[in-house]
Amino acid sequence: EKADRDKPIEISADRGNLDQLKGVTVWQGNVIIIQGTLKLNADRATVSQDKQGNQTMQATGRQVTFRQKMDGKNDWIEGQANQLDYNTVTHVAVLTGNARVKRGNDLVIGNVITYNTETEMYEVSSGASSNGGRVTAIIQPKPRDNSPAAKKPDGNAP
Amino acid sequence: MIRSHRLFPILLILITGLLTVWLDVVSRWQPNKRDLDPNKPEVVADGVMATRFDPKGMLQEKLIAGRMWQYPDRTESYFESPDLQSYKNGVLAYHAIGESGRYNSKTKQALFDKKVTLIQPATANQQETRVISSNMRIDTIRHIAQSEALTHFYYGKSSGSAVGFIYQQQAGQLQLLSNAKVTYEK
Repeated sequence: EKADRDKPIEISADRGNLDQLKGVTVWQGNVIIIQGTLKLNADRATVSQDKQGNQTMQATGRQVTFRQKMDGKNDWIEGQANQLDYNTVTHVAVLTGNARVKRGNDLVIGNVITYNTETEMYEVSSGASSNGGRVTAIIQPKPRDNSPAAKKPDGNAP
Repeated sequence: MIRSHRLFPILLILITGLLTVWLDVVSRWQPNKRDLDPNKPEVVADGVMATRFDPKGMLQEKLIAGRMWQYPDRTESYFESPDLQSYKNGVLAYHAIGESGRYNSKTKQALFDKKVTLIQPATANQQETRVISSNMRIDTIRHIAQSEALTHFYYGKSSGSAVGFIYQQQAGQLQLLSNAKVTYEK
């Protein structure tokens, strides 16, 4: 959710290496990154920070997973891929390699999924994978609203 | 006559021998050399400030301590509440403040064996870095600080901890050896 952005970022890992001159930190081994409701797990994460404090993060591993609460709803968005690149300026996360994103009950699968944590919109593509893989999207129908207010005068549901 | 004739060489040998022993003893005798107790300090100084300058005459290292002492025939000096300051081109690069420690003048290694804080002052483009641990070794030649103990560090508003670290001050590299945690705050 949007409030996550202003929360501190907590990172824990087996080992860490901070390069003060370049502003690059590499975390390795059971990496967990938490920011508000966002939680990411990876084998390795590289966090770069520019002079203005903006950060880009690349997480890799057998499987990078993340989970974040949706804004204003009690629903979660979950994703997994071989690699995840995130930019705190654009608020865009790019999942690459066996990428899956589940939002509520909707699910998309592809080689590359670009997810905007600000607009909560995502775009899925087969990416440059050699076998020209296909994308899959499973969109659950909205539950029918059977309340009286929703019914037309002729008694049928809209 | 004959007897004295034979006695003289014997006497001569005896006297020469005595003279040799006497000279040996005298040459070893040092007027103020007394056997010092190796477990008792030979030198004790209170309120110490030692300063070292680089070839260009600029401040390179300063060591301030409440008390310093040294044991006989040892190259290590021991300190109470030491503050080891390292300068680069006359500007303070970092300093380490501890409860106690020792410094080996031959290896140029400092060991802070109790609580110690390493501070790298803020610069134009870097915030102050503080590293706090229960002990720390500092190589004052290669400017490397390290510990195997639980260590906490603070960088601006961000903070973190790890068990074991190696900090290469000149390269600006801080390695967290295990159980690394950090909280970034803007």
